[in-house]
Amino acid sequence: MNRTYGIAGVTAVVLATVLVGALGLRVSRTTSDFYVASRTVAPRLNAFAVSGEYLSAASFLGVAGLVLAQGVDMLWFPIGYTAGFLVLLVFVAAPLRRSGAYTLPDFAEARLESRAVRRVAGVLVVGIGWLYLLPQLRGAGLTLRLLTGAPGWLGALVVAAVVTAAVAAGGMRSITFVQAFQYWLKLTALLVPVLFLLLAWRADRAPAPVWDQRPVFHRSAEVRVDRPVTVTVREPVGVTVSGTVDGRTVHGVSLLLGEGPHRFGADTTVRFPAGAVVPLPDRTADRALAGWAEPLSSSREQHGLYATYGLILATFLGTMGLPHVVVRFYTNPDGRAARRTTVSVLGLLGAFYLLMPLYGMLGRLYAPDLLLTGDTDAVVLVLPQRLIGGAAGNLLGALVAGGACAAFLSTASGLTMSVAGVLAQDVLPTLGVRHFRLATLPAIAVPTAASALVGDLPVADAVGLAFAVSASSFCPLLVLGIWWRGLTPPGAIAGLLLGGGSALTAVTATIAGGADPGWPHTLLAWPAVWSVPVGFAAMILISLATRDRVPPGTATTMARLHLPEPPPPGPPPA
Amino acid sequence: MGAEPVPRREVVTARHPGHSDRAAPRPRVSSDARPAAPRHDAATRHVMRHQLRAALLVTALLAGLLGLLPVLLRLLPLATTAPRVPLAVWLVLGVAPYPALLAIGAWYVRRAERNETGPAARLRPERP
Repeated sequence: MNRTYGIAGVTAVVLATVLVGALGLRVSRTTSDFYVASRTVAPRLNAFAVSGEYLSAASFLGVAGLVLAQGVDMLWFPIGYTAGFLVLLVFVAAPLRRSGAYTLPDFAEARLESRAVRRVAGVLVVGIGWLYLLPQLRGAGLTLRLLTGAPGWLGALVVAAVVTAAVAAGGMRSITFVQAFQYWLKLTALLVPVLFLLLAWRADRAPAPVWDQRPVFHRSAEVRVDRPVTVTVREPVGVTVSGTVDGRTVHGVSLLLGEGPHRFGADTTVRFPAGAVVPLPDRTADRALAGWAEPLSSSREQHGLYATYGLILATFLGTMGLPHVVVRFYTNPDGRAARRTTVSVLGLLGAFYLLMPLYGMLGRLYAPDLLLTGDTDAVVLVLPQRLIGGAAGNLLGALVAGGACAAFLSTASGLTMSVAGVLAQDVLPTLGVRHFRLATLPAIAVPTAASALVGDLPVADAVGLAFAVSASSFCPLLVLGIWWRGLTPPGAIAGLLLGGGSALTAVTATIAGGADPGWPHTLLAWPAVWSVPVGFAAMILISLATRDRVPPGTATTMARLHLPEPPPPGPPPA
Repeated sequence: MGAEPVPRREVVTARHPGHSDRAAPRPRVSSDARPAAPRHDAATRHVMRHQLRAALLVTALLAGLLGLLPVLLRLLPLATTAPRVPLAVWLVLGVAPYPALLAIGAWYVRRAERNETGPAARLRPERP
């Protein structure tokens, strides 16, 4: 990708965001002003904002990358991301808005009248927020590495700094307009290029994407290896190399790579001829070979069906517990508007995700080398250059880079804000609310450090882990809290700790790479199938055992949650 | 230059910054906790029952349409005709779910609003 254009695209997005944000700030001078005013935010505008905040790097970059690498069954990710809002709509949206809760700990305290539940919920919000921030920062590092050649950890650090500055300045989250603007930016940044890409694909005589067991270079391709990688060559292939190969430093030399493992050093460029089989790195070789072709194949660590259901449960039930999503529901005027907002979100997310299979398929055709370098998350970023080239390709590439930038900026800011709010209020009591700005530092520093430490985890995969924790802890809390009068504080705590805690432990073990391959690994990598029932069962059973602890105000709270609001009163007498 | 002074921006959180930590066990939302009138309670239960029925119906639809899809795709011979993934599979997983989700959501909203305002909900007094 041409670096000048890419940097220009990212800079333009940052400037436009600041500009729209500044305009929004002029409209509403204080944050509290904004929230009072925001009770009149129309459902449509609010839906743009919810979608803008929700469509993260995992959606913008990750899904297409997973489709490229692992095939059609990866489309369960976007299906789940969208269907999660339907589940949220029918069980949570209106009652949550009517509860008046601003965050999940607020809801827990209001419903159960217990400070202890509030604290446990606060810890889980921080855990989920950090898990969700991790892939955003990885996506940021990847994008900036492709644009500038900077190492990934540096890109993550830069974005973390930008987000910290934005959040500490009070900029991003309070502004509905910024989020709404970023939804349209993200949609445009994928929609416009894909039209040109499809034209180019047609002009290329519309090759049918063939998913045989070995990806092939459809065209002659120059592959740039940023980080050292060992690949397995399956058929001898003649390539042109500049850089280091198998320990030798060469410059523009043609050589024949024999069958077997070969090692490319950092900053090496390899040109493959058309029709050559893409050599895969040892790490992903088995995955990509096993299951590209069939949906629900054994690709997911040999247990595809279990993994798919784990993913479905986690995303369908986990969306309602994401800290940055819940906050946006507070800006609806009433419960009914909250429902209408959510339905619009279903349409907006669907429009966005319809584009994902196209990028995945085109990526499989024209960017299979990403399998070699392991940067499959970059497929959306590199495609315009590959297919179109020239100034048009550069411009479209800049547009896509800007969209990716909007994706991780909006979500990372929303998450940082939520996590910092909880840290300041509930977890670090000595800090107090006034030191909110101090709390933004740990809120983003921890995931930034983690993203530099943990190994390569595909962006969408890491997000799946955050969903699993949310589904096993906050889903039971919200669903039972809203629909069951028998929930007690000890029951809620037990469910949060057992469900959320076990899921959190499982995903931590997965990220740390502790589990053996095979069933133990699969069970830990897709915990929702067992941890969601654990959470529900613990909450119900302990509540039944502590029936005398049902909060005294339950009946009143239930009436508040479920009965529609009275029509807004007229202006108060002056 | 701006003539009017710009008020200091403040962080909006559930508790007011002025609150001390010890004075907080009173949750903000149910601060008006008082025994609900029995008539009120009956109305709430009535609305809840209808809303829950609609929600469970949507859940059943979701489980039937999307939840069974992984098993179906595995059982049907469609996918084993690799190397090409049939167009039908791409459409089923890449296109069809989104209009379906939107339609189900729109239907639910209409039903939920009717539950709240329709003749069934008429016996309800104003909310507390």
